[in-house]
Amino acid sequence: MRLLPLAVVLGVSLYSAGFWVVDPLLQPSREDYRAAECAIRGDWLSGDAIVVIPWWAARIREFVGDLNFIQLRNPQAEDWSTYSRLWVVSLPGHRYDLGTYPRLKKIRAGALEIDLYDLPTPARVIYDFRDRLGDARVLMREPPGPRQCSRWVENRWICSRRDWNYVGRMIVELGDDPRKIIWAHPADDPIEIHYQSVPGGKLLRVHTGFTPPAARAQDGAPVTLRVLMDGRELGRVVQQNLTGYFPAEWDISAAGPGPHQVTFIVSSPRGGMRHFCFDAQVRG
Amino acid sequence: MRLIKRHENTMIALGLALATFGVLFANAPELGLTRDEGYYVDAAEHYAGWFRELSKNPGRAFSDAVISRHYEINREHPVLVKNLMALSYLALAPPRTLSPSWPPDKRGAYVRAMRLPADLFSALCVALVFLFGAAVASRRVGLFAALAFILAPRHFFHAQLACFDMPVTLMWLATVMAFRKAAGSWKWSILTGLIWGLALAVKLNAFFLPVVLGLHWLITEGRQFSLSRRGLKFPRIPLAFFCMLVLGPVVFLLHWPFLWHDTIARLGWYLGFHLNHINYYWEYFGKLLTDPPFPWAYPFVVTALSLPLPTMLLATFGFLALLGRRLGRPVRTGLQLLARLGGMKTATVADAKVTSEVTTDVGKNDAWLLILNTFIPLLIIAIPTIPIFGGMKHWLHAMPFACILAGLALDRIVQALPGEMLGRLHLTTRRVFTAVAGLILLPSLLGLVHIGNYGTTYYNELAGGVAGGADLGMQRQYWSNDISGALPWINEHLPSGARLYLHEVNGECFRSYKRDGYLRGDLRMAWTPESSDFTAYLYHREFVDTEYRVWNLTGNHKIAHGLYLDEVPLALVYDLKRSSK
Repeated sequence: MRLLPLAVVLGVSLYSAGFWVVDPLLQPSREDYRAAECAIRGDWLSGDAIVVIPWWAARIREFVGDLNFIQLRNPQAEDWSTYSRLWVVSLPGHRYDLGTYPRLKKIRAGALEIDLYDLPTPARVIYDFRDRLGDARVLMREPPGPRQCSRWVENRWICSRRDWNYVGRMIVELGDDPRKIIWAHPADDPIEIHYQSVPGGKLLRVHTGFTPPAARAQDGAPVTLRVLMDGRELGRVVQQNLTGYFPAEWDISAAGPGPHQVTFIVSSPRGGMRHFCFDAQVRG
Repeated sequence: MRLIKRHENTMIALGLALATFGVLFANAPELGLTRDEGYYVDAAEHYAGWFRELSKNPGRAFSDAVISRHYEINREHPVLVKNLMALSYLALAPPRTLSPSWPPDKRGAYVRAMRLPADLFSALCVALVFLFGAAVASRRVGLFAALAFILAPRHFFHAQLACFDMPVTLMWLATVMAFRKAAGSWKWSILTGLIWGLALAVKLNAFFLPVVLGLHWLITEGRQFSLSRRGLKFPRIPLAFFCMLVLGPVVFLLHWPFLWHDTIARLGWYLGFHLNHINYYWEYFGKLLTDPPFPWAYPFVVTALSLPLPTMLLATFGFLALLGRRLGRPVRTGLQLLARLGGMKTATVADAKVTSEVTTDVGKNDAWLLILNTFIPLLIIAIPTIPIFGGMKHWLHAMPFACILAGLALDRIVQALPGEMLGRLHLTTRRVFTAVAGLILLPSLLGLVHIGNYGTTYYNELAGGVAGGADLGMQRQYWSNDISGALPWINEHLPSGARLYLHEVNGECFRSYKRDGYLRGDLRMAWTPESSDFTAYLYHREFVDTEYRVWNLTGNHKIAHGLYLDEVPLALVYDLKRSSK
C-alpha cells in the first residue's frame, strides 16, 4: 500500500514522457498530404465538397484549398442537399464516420484517412441570390423617401459611410461555422434588395442568422426578413437574437418558370448591433 | 572549498540562476515578440529618453513637462521593469537603423537587450524557488521545485518575455521569503516592506499580497484572539505589516517619475484603469467567454490542463496532504475562538488535542505560507467578476509554491517507502528521490523541447497536448508571437515591396521585427487583409472573421504557407494576389 503513491507517480510520468515521444511520430507528413491530394484530385467531380476532421486542421488546404472546401465542426449535422459527393479527410485520433451516407471508397494516405461518401441526388440550384448580388438593386427605405445604395465596392453595395451600413457578399461566423451569406444589417429603417429576372423553380430556400457579437447584445431586437415574389409576400422569417444558420423555405412551383421579381425586405424595430445575415437560392 | 561547502545552497542557487539566465539569454532572439512586449519596448524607448535627459540636464529632467513627455505612454503599468529595459536598451541595443542588406549581418540584438531584465528576474526567481524550498523543507525539495517550475513550458515561455509576469512572481516570492524571516526582526521587516514596494512597482498583483499575508497571520495567530471581561485581545500584529504599510507606497511612488507630479490624479487614473478593466474575450471549452460571470473553475481547470501532468499531480497531492494535516488546527482554533468570544472556558475546546498534534516536516507557518500562496492567487481569478484573459500568467506567482508542494509530496512518497525494501535493493531514499524526480521532470523537458517557442499552445498530457488543447476548444494563441515561425518563409518568398498584413501583430512589433533583422526592410505593413498582398493569419477565436475576410477576397481556402505544431495551425499565410486571379 505504501508503494501505491509511488506507482501512480511513476505510471503518470512514464505515460507523460511517452506521450511527447510517441505523439509527434503519429502525425502525417507532407508526403501523406501529397498522396491525399493526388487521391482527391484524381477522382474529383463537379459537385464534390471536402471537409477535414478535426475542423481546425488546415494543412490540407495548402494542397486542395482551391477546391470546394468547407470548414465545419459537425459535418454530420450539415445540410448537404446541394452536393453530390463528400470527401472527408481525417487526422489520426480523429476518425469520423458519416454513417448516414454510403461510403464509396476509403483511402489511406500515410497517417491520413480519406473517405468518399455518396450523397443523395443534389438539388439543382437555379439561382443563387448571393452570387447575383451585383445584379441587385438595394434601397434604404428611409424618410423622406427611399435612397438607393448605388456604389458597388468589393462585393458590397455601400449605403452610407457607416462601416456596417452595406449589403454585401461576406463569409461570417454563424453559430460556430463560417457561412457564405449576404450581410444585410438593417438600420432603424428597412433595407430592400430587389432582384429582377429571377427564374422560377420548385423552392425558394433561405438561411438566416445573427453573428455571435450581435447575438450577445443584451437588447438585440429581432430582425424580420420578408420575401416577396412579383409583389406578393411569399413568407417571412422573424430571426430572434440567436447566432446560427437557420433554414426556411417556400414552395414557388405554382409561380411558373418566370422570370420573376424577388424582393427581400430586412427590418428591425431597433437597428443597433443587428448584424443580420441571410442567403437564398431558387432550387429546381 | 570550505567556503563553498558552507554556502552550498547559495552556490546551487547561483548555479541555477546562471544556467537559467544563460538559456533564456541565448534563446531571446528566437522567440517572437508578443503584442504586450511591443507596447513595453516602445514605452521603454520613451523612458530611455528621460534617462538621457537626466544624464545631460538633471535640473530639467525632474520637471513635469519633461517627465510627462517621456512617461505618459503606457501609464497603465508601473515602470520598474520598463525602466530597467530602458537602461538595458541604452547600454546594449544597436543604433536604430534598418540594415540595408538582406539577410542582415546580425539579428536579435534589440530584442535581446529589451529582454535582458526579464531574463535576470526569471533567473533570480528560479534561484529563490530553490532557496525557499530548501528553507521550508530540504535541499532536494528546493532543487526539484526550482526545476519543476522553470521546465514547465508555460512558465519557461513567460520567463523569456519583456513583460511583468515573471518579475512579479519573483517579487511576490521574495516578499513572502522576507516576511517569513521577519518575525521580531527589524531588518527583515524593513526588507519585507521594501521588497513589497518593489513588487508593487512591477505589477498590480502585488496589491493582493497583504491579503495572503493577513490571512496567514489570522490563521497562524488566531488562537491568540480572545474576548473576556478585560476586553478584546489581539495577537501581536507583525512588524512587517507596518513596514509594508509605510515603505511599500513610498517605494512605489519613488520608482515612478510620472507620479511625482499631480500624484493623486495620476495614481487614481492608474487604479481606476485596473478597477474598470475591460474583459478581453477568451476561449474556454469551445465557447467564447465575453462577459462576467466567468466560470469559477476556470483557473483550476486551466492549471490542470497546462501544468505538466506529473508536476500537477504531485502539487495537488502536496497541497491536499498539507492542508489535510493543517486543517485540524484551524477548525479547532475556530471553535476555540468562538468559545472564547462566547465566554466559555477554553479548556473545554480540545486544547489537549492541539498540544498532541503530530509534527510534520514543514512547520505550521511555512505550511500555511505554501497553502495560501498556492491557493489565493487562483481563488482571486476564480471570482466570477474578475477578468480572466491572459490565462495562467495571471496566477503564475502561485506556481513557485505549487512546485514546492510538489517537491514535498514527492519527498513524502519516497520517505514512506519501506526501509527494508530499499535496503534489499541497496537504495537510499536520496537515490530514489533523484531517480524519480528525473522521471517526473522528463515530460516537462520533452514538452518544452517539443513546443519550442510557441509556449501559449502548450497543453499537458491530460489535455492531449497541443492538438488536445485545440480539440477541447481552449485558448491557444493570443499574443501574436507565433508569427516568428512564419517570417523566414515570408522573407524568402514575398516580392519586393509587398504589402504584408500580420494578423494581431501590432505596429510596434512590426517595426521591431524590421529593425532587428527578422523582417525584410522593403516589406510594407498593411493594416487589413483587404489592403494587403499577403496576409498571415493567427488563429484566435475572437478574430476568426479575419480569416473569413481573406476567403471572401480570394474566393477559396488555399494557403500559401502554414506553420503547424502537431498539425494545429499556428500561422497561415495567404497570397491574396495570386489567389484572386
